[in-house]
Amino acid sequence: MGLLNRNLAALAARSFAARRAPLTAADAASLLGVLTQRWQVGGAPVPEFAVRDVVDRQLLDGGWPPSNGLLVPSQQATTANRADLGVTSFADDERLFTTSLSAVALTQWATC
Amino acid sequence: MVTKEPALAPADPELPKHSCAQFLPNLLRRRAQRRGRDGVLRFSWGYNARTASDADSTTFAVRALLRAGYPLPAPAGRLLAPLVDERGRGNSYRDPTRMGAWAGAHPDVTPSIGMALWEADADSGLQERLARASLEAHDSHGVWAGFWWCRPYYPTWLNLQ
Repeated sequence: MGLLNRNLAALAARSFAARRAPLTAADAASLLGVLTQRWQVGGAPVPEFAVRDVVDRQLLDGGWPPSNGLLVPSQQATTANRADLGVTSFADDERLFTTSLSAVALTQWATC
Repeated sequence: MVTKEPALAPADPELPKHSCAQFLPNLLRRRAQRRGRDGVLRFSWGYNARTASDADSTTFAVRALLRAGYPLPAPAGRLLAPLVDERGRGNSYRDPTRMGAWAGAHPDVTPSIGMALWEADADSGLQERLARASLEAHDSHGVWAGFWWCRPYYPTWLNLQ
């Protein structure tokens, strides 16, 4: 299972590195999580830019900004077709999700 | 049917007075008791007090209680197993006739249930089934697409964990 995870984590990291779309704060935290996971199972170390991208987004009140990314798909949707149904995405306006995600990602990285 | 509320341990007196650990158990317990259409009282959580219980909210509540050091209102396996289908995939909701696709198997929910069981040290057989289902759900790029998320970063991180 460990070897499988290392390959998968490396594959996911390569796939994300090839993407050009801008990241939300929650995406940046999750990317740091993926890269930390890759490092934990013996893969490449976490690049500094990934840590800095999360740290630099922290606001003066200690939290992180909301991230638009939550979907509430139609109850007739599937994972495969939900994009075709014009689903609206929402941000976590209270910032709880993004803030907790960022804190967890940084903690995992710092204790790895 | 009358079901006695499970006893919860008192909050740790060493914690700051307004620490979340002080009010967490009562808050979570109040939200936890839901009577199903079959009349059976179950312990699970929804994303607010008026909606049906869902797997993500329940796993977050279970993990929060465990991390704060409080007992669960029922064994973790009993709380979470009904949200896993025969192929080991996590379902966000239990009732497809009422919830439609929201009650389907979702790759961003499967690992949340697995992590809650792992943290509770419960039902290793179910953990194994969830892990196998998770490994079958990624695409050829090692990426997991979520049902509830626009982009795959968070679902992928969840599954790799």
